[in-house]
Amino acid sequence: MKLKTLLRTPVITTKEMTPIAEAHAVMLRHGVQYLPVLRGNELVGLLSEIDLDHAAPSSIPAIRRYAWVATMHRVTVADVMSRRPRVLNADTSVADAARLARADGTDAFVVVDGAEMAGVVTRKDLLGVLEHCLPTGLGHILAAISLRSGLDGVIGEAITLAAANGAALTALHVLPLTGRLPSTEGATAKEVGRIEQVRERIAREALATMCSLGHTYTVTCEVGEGAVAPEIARRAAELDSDLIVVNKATPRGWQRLGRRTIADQLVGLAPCPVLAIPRTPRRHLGHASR
Amino acid sequence: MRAADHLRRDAPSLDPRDSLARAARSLRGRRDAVPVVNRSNLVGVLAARDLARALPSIATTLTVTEIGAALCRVSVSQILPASVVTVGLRTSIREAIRLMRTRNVSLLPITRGEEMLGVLTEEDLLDLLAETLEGIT
Repeated sequence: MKLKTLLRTPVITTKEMTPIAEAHAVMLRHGVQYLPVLRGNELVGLLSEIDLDHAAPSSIPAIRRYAWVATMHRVTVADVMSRRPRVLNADTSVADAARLARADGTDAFVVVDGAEMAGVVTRKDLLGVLEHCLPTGLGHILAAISLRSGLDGVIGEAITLAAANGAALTALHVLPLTGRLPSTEGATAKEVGRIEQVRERIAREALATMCSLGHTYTVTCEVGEGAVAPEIARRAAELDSDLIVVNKATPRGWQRLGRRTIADQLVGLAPCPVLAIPRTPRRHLGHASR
Repeated sequence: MRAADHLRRDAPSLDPRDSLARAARSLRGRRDAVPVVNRSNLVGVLAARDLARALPSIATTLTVTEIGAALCRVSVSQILPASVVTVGLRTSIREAIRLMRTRNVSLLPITRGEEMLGVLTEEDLLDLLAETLEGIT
């Protein structure tokens, strides 16, 4: 990848004799932090926001009172600019520019294309390339679902997110009971059968959602037990989840008097961000995906 | 890939009571920034730009000696920005870069509660960029 792919047009420039207040206004108007300084068509310097900070009166009153305010309007770009900007060719690779910025502490390069000035590339522009090269950071998503109230968009949203980010997806339903899971020693055949039934139901619901979304994805179905929010948070930590997707039930009537929803509890307990989905009819999800 | 993978524990730091003269020695580069720490708790981040705002204007009646004396009398805490952008151990590198770019900071302290565990710097990310692009090409 070359620097020319990072350039913005038109190139905003300033002149040596421009008063610094005017140059600052240009920076603000165009949302740029650096201005190449020209004398005719020749590049003579680079003006940055930090140069303007150096020129301005001190933020400390005890020092500011010694500023010669009457002369401030006479200060020009030439008085404060950096006189030897680093210049690179537009065909320089981004990797080489990153190495140069690292080696000599350059914060911005003036980029030329042949004899013409083509623009400015800053460290922030270079890091923008890295931001888009890296995976989104969603490696694993835990969809905390409630079979009692229906999946209500949680699994659909989780599948869409996982598919978009290539993340692994686990759907977890926590039984708020004190029974024993199949892994627990001494679980009866009835208990094992019940857990399997719940697991199958999660799988069926996930499959139905995938059909409505129009694409398939691998979903691991799990059943847990115990206090719902702490169990979801514990499993998210075990699975090293990057996101928990959970239903956000709206409390009604007396429930509003202090009863916290699972989503509310999870925000305080979870080891990762929590995405709370308001309940929506399933047909709406299918529609949105199209 | 998480910010914690590039955590730098040995980064220099300042005390809030340090003078600006001392801060100026730590902030020589235009993009430099240094965490300000009080007993391993993060107080803020001082950037070269914050120092530039505190220094006298180029049109000042102070002599070089007077400027030096004035900088010794002002403490870091007097010019420290009120807000600080931090990340946790689990923050992804991608999110850390997004924060650096949108909040225009060159250093992100990695914290657990108020305790500073280390920092993630722009320099480390530039190294990572060069390595990543070499891997692609």
